[in-house]
Amino acid sequence: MERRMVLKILGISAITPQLHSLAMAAKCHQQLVELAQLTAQAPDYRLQFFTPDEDELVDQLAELIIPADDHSPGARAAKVSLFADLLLATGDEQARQQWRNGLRLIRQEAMQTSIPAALAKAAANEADPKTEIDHFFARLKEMTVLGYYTSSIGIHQDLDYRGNSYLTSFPGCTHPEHQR
Amino acid sequence: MKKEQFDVCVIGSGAAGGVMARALCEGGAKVIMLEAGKEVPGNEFRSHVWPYNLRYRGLRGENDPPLYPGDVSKTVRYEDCDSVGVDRIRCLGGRTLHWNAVTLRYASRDFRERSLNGVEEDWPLTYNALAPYYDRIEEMIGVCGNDDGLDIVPSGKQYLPPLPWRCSEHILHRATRRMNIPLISVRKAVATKACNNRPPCHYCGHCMNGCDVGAIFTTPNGMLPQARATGNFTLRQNALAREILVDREGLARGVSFVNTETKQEEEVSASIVAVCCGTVESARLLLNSRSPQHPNGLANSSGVVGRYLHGHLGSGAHIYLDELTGLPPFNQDGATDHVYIPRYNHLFGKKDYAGGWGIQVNFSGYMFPNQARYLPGYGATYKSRVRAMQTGYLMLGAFGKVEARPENHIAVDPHQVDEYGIPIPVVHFRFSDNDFALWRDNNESIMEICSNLKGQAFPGFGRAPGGFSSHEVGTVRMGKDPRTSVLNDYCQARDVNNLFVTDGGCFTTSSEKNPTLTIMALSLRAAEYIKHKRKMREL
Repeated sequence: MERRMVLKILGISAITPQLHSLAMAAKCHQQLVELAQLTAQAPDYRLQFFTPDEDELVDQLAELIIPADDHSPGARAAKVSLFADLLLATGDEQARQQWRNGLRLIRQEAMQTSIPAALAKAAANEADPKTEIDHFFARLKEMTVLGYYTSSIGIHQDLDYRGNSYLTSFPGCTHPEHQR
Repeated sequence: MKKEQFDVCVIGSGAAGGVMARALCEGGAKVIMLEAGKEVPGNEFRSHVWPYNLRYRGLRGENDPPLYPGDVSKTVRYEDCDSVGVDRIRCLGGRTLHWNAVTLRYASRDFRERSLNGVEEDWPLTYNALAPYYDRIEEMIGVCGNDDGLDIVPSGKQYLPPLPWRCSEHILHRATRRMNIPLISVRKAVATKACNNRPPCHYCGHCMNGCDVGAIFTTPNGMLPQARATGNFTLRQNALAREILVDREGLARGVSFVNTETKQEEEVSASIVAVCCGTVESARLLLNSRSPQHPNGLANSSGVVGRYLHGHLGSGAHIYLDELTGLPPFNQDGATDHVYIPRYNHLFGKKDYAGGWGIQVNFSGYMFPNQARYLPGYGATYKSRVRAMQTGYLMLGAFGKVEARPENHIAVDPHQVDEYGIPIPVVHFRFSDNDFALWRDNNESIMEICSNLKGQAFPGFGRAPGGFSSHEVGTVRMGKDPRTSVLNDYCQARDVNNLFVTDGGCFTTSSEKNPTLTIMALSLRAAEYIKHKRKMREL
């Protein structure tokens, strides 16, 4: 963010000596955001690995794992399936095969019941996975967690993370009940 | 460059090399420093970039600054090893560029393992000999904390203001008080107020991604400017030492190095050589410096160079405190660790193993919700629970002592070379029975702390110990006995009196405490010795 924005938010004058580190930090931050926006996942991202059907299935499964609720959007809004597509397309062949196979198993199971029921079956042995579909649940959940909680929606809207910022002092605990 | 004769060539610009360069320059010596890597300025640090602005969300290291260039990460081999890793950093400043900056003095007992416990060996110097150098280093780098009056982590008298404790740390204090174990403000080389021309910390919690403003001490911000100011300092970056050269008597006469930009071989002449490449690379360099006078590697008539490799093992837990769960989110980043649990197992009677552990607290960051990985289930309830737990986070990370044993060693492989044709280091390491016993007790103790806290705890110690937490030491050790050591207490090689090794390699044994402050104190003491000997014209 711009230097003036940092000043405004922190309500300090430009003469404060401590500003030096804040100004430097803000400048670094601005340069890096500009750099990073060149490489951010583009709004017109095209699938590199999933077929459209697979992408839709992953999207559905991820949204079941981390759904939208009153508080915040879910994995669908955070485009977790596209993040998964990018990671798998640029990762190793073994992971791609595991996903292709895992999605096939889910779809097979879902033909008997439904997609939510298939996911529930895959998740049933989460503590002690044995079958291929058990292991695939672990992969699905891990990918959804990674994709959601590194997204803007996950970090800012769901968790409302207040850090990664610039403070002139650290407040520490102000609650007497914690210090007894 | 070939014709110029320097008084000292310092190889490596990390914690050790920085101190050597500054102290020797300030003492009047003409110093040339060779650094295999190059400067990485603050604006190349990506500490503040949001994960969603990175191509792979930071999962593939895109938010790391370029501290590990070329093939350096791949040019090490692990043979016959337990789960250990050694650091491969290569940049101006070495690991000081992204260290957590926890700075703890070794205790008196840490220098006397053999006398006190009947294991390993005693160091050839005592805490009292090193204390004045700890004082001076702490002043030079700026350390925050308190004089706690604890023998197990001795204090200086002058510290920068300690970091304010978080809510979770006060709650932890209830548990430690109940268990009669100590909890103190951490000692850390972070400017809690502006010091030594460095700006104060802005509490972004990114210490270990690299401090882009220099509030954390690094060699480039805290040693090299002072070295330059003397007019005695020359720096060559992109200069990878290939071999230390010797004269007919077998004394060091200079260093042959590769200019990694031009790929040309160059040489520098110096009357004294100070090796500060880091534990693994220093041993590698000595072993690769063979000559008729030193057929087994430089200063290696004992066969000890490369041996006694050790470091720290780890344990820990993530805990989500009931009392802090479900609160409105608040900024807890701070400066990573604010408190520290010093070693306490020696206060509770004799153990069937030697050594102990110290526990660092809250250094793993508050952005990513680790509980999302530990909590079973999925769906709306799971998502709400993950969010509620986020404010309750408390992280414990223990570092445990590992034994120094000659079987554990670094060798070099002449048949596997890096891109410059230099034989790579090969790591051989197994944990001992003592290490396993210590690790098991460490884990139990972590669980005991968890059971004294109201919350949900997820242990993080796996099925077997792992190391070295980037704290590897011991491969060019100092000692009293020439059969089991390479250096004397001034880090001077017995075989080559104008050769010094002052990085972690020189450690006789390892305490549970982070080694960097001790590396720096030993380096300062060695530099003062060199200055004195030069004045006497003995070096």
